[in-house]
Amino acid sequence: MLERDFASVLHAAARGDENAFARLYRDAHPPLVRYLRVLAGQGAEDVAAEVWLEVARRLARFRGDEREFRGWLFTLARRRVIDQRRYADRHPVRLTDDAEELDRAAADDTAAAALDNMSTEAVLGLIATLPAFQAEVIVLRVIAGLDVGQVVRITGRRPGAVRMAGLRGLRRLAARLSAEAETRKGVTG
Amino acid sequence: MRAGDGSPDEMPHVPRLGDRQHLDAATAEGLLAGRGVPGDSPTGQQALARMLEIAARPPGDEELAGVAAAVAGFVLVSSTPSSTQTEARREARPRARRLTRLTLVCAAGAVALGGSAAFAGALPARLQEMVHVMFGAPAPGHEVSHPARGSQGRHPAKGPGYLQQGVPVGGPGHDQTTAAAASPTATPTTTPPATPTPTLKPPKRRRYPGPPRPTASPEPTMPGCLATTTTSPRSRSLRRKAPGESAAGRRPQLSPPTSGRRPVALA
Repeated sequence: MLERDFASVLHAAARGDENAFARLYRDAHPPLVRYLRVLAGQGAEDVAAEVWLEVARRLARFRGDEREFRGWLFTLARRRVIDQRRYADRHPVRLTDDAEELDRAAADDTAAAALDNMSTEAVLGLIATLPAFQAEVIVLRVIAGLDVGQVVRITGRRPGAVRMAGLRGLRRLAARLSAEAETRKGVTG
Repeated sequence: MRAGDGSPDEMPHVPRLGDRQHLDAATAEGLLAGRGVPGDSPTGQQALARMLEIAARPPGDEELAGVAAAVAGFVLVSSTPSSTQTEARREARPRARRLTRLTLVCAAGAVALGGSAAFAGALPARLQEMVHVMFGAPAPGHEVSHPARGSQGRHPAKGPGYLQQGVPVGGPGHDQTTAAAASPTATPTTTPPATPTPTLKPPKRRRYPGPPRPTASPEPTMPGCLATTTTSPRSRSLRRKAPGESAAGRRPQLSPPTSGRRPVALA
C-alpha cells in the first residue's frame, strides 16, 4: 500500500505521469491478478490488462483515497469477469486437436519462478475450489486487504452475508488443510 | 460402525470436524483482516493462517512483468482524447451556446436601452454630449419634445391659455400670437420676453407653415385687444388637451374656423 504517498501519486498519474502510473500498477496489480485467478482462472492476465486500460481512461475522474481506489479497481475487475462469463456463455469455445500447442510453457518460465509460484498458485487453487462467493470474499479480504464494507459495495451483498461467507470459506479451507495433513501423514507413516 | 471401532487414523474426518468447530467468528475475522491467530491456536488454524499469509505475500518479479505494457497502454490512452473527455466537451457545448445567446440578448438590450436614453436626453451630461457628437442625439441642454404632444403643442410648463411658439407671453391670460399673421394696421410693439426660457427652441419642422409672415410687424399684445392667430385646422386637430386642462381653460372660440384665421378674444 502506498498510504501517505498515494494522493500525490494518484494526482501525478491523473496528469499523465508514467512513473506515477507504474507505481500504482506495481502496488495494486499483484492482488488484482490473484483475485482474477480465483475468479477467471487462466484468463486472469487478459482481464487484468483490460482493467488497467479502463483505469487509465478513467483515472483523471477518480476521487478518493487508496482504499477507495482499490475498491474501484476490484469493482472494475469483477464487472469484467462477469462480462467475460456472459461472452463465454454466448460463444462456447471449440476445442482443437493440437493439445501440445495449448500446453506450451511460457517463454519466461524458469525453474525458480515455477517453484515460487507453485506455493502461491497452490494456495490460490485451493481457494478457487471453494464456492464462488466464499472464494471471492476471502480473496478480497485477505489478498486485496479490503474491509467488509468495501466487499459489500463490490459484491452487492449484505454485510451479514459477506461475513458468513468468509467464515464458512475459512472453515472449509481449514477442513481441507486438515484432510491433506492427515492424508500426508498417512502416506508418510 | 460404532465410535469405538477403529483408530483415529482410520477415521480422518473426526479431527477435521473438531478444527472446524474451533474456528469461531472472531478468529475468522482476525484471519481475514490479516492479524493471524494466537500461538496456542489449534494446528489447523495455524496452518490456515500460514496459507493465507502465502496468498497475501509480496509479489514476485513475474507478477510485475506486465508493467511496461501497462504503462505503454496508459501513455496511449492518455495521449488520445478519451470518450469521457469527448462526452464532457459535448455536454459543455450547449452550455456555451446558451451563454453566448444570453450575452447577445443582454448586449442588444443594453444597446436599445442606452439608445432610448440617449435620444430621450436622459443620459448624464458628459455622456449625452458624447452621444450627441457621435450619433446626433440631442445635446445635453436640449429638452426633447414628446412626439405625442407635437412640436407645436403647448409647453408643459405653461398653464392653460398659452400657446407654445417659442416666445413667452407678456402676462397671465394672454395668448401668444407669434405667427405673424397680424393685421397690417397693428402698430409694432416690441415686447421683450419677460423670462426667456433657454430650453425652448423653435420647432425645426412645421407641418403647415401658414400664410407668409410679414417681416417686421409683431402684433400687439395689449390686454383686451383682439388678435388673430393663424392656426391650421390640422394643427388644431393635432393639439391635445394638456393634463389638467379643462374645456373652460381652453382658448374660447368666437367663431368656427373657416380659413385658418380666426379671431381670438383675449380677456
